[in-house]
Amino acid sequence: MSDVAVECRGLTKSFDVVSAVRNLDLAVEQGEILVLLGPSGCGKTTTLRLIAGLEVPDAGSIRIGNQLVAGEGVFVATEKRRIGMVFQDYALFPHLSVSQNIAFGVQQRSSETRVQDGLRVVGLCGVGGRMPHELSGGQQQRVALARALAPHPAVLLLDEPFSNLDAGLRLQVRAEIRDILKANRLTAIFVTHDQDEALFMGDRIAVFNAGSLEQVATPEELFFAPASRFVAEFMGQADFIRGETTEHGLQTEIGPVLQPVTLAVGQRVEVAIRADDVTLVADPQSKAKVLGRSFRGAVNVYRVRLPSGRIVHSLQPHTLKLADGLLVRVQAEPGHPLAHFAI
Amino acid sequence: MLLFEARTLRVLARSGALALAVPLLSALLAVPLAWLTTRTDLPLRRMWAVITALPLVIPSYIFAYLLVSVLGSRGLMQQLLQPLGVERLPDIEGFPGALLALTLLCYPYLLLTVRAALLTVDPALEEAGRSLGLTPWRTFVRITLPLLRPALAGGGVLAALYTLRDFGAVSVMRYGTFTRVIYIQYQSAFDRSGAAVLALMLVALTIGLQALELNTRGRARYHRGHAAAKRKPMLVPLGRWRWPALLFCGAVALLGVGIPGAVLLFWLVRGLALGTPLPALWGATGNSVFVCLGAAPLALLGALPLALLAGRQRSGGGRLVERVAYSAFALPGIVVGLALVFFGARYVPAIYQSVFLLQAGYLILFVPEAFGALRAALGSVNPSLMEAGRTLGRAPAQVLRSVTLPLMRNGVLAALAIVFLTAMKELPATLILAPPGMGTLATSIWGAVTQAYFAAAALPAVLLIGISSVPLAIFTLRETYQ
Repeated sequence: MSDVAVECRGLTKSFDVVSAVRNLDLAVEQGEILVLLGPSGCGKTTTLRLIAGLEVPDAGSIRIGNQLVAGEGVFVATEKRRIGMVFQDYALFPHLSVSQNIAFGVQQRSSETRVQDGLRVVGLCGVGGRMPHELSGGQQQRVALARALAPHPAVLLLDEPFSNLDAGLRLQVRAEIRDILKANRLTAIFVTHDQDEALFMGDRIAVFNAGSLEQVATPEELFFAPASRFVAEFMGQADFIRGETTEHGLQTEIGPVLQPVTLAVGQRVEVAIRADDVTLVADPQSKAKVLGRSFRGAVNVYRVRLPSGRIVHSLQPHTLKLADGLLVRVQAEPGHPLAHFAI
Repeated sequence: MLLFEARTLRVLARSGALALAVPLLSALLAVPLAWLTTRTDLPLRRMWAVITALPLVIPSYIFAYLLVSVLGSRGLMQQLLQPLGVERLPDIEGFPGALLALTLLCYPYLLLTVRAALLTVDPALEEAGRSLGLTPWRTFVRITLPLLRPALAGGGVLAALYTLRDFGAVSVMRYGTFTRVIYIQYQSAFDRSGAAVLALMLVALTIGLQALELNTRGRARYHRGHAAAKRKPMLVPLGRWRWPALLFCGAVALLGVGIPGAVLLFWLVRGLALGTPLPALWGATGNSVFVCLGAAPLALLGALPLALLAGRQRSGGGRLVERVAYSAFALPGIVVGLALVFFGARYVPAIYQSVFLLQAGYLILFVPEAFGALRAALGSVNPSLMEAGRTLGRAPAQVLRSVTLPLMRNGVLAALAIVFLTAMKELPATLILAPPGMGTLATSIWGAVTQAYFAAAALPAVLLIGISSVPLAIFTLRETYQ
């Protein structure tokens, strides 16, 4: 299989007694950006460092391209793996100029042209003579990228590269970097704990939980069809209500939802429901009550307590105003199948 | 058995008493000084902070000799009082003299650690105390002082270690602690097992203390990491108390720096007037500089692999290397000297009584110091820089050369300077290991001092302090320049 850029099989790594990565299988295709997403301590950075050769796996194997680099008694040193890495703190060499930083990983003969190419690709022509501390955070970020790309690595590894940038700059830099990666058809593995960043950057996203993979899927799949409650929760803004499977769909405490189900009829489930799936109608007969409203500009998000005591959120146009304490009828009108998990 | 002889126990008691009393008395000087120079509106705070730390650079035998030459029974003080009919002052030799000399030499260790702790204590903690109704004094006692406990413990153990290892001050003051008794035994007795037993006891003591110090240091770091000061604390106005505070600082500075300096100059002038033979000093100066210029790079070469090994993360082996290297720091110079004499005489007679044996002694004594400086420098190099070097296709040795070492340059220079100036001052191992006839500045000073020939000691003392402060000055200047 020549179109697989990186492949991990049964990858396992523990530190002292804490297991960081457990029996992980993962494949990255050529030209793909794969995001490793998860809360801190879930093993995503360890996985990246295992691929980089900065950690030695306890078990399992890693291939980069067609070459076995770890496992089966083989361990190829970091410097021979043809990877490029962008570090969280950039790790620019403070004693070297920008040009010298970019040229660090390049053979002497081709270094001048590579440095110029690198600076042009990241839009930093003319700063080659400066020292890293003379650059802004965003510029340092781009130098780090240029340095990692200069030796033409087979795969680029990025470890939370935007976490040191402030919010506005982060949005700008991530768009630029995604454009650069795509324009050069680069294979990249990108670690983040920010689901918003993951949805933006990833062709596919691998969601980690406690050292194992929960799901690997495209951003849309992950958002609309999470494979587990953990994924639904981690991808954000979902409420969970109780229900049961029926022949035609789900029966929940806010009414029936018609959709295909694969679980056996009568199975008790938890249903993930987002604010945009929920409608509200004022109804004095109802037992659900508006607890509060948060104004988000174009929309209002209402917080509603159901008779069972569970809380759901509902997205409504800013023209609809419902007072706190008002009794409302809550309905699910998702327009797509709702993710649900047996309990 | 020798170990439990009454005489041995007396030596143990004397050393123990001194090692307890010196840190306690030092704390009484250091805590007020530290507080006054960091937390109050004391006039000229920075100047006092610098001056009161200066005794650190004075070798103990020079300091003790200066004290004796002033306060001794027929010292300068007695000569001043002669017209008043004072024929003799009470002897300061023995415990009081040793205590005074070592306290004035050791309190800077406590001063530095306590100052550092005071500067990093989060002012919000003290403000919280004030907001809960405590007076400034009660705030200091109930909040600040407990926060200083790790610093006090760390600095106190350093002072106790210094006291146990010290040979110069106790010898000049004729107070029979381990180091002095070991040296006398070594010189007089044909059977050297007595010296060896005492040396082993001393090492057991110092290594025990060192272990204690490592533990308090670990806690202190933790403590500082979590309470990093973000704002400057409000300074306590001293008001009328300004004058007693100034008097206190002035008195400590006078005793620790002013009087020794003035007296040294006095003896120097008198010695030059008397025509102290200079040629002898040329040789001693040359020997000192030559031996110490050799010792510095040697210690560095010895310490670098250890520092690199200890710096590797998550390795239990690294921690072990660190512990062993630091506990070698606890070895008193006299013990290293003795051990090498025994070893050299028995197994390598070829280098026995040669300058190589002296270099070997310096290597053992100063590798831990160089290790400390290098370790600190390595610790300040971001580890992801080394990893970045690897991901860019460079092998570990190339990364060491092109990334790690250039970034550690200041630490390397600091290590060289520290080893050079400590080697210049080193006395006991030099006395024992220097080849016959090879005098250094330190041994010339000692020779003159033991015969109470103060004028002859002054010139080499000034030369020694002058030469050993050159690398320190260069280094400090470089640092401020950068």
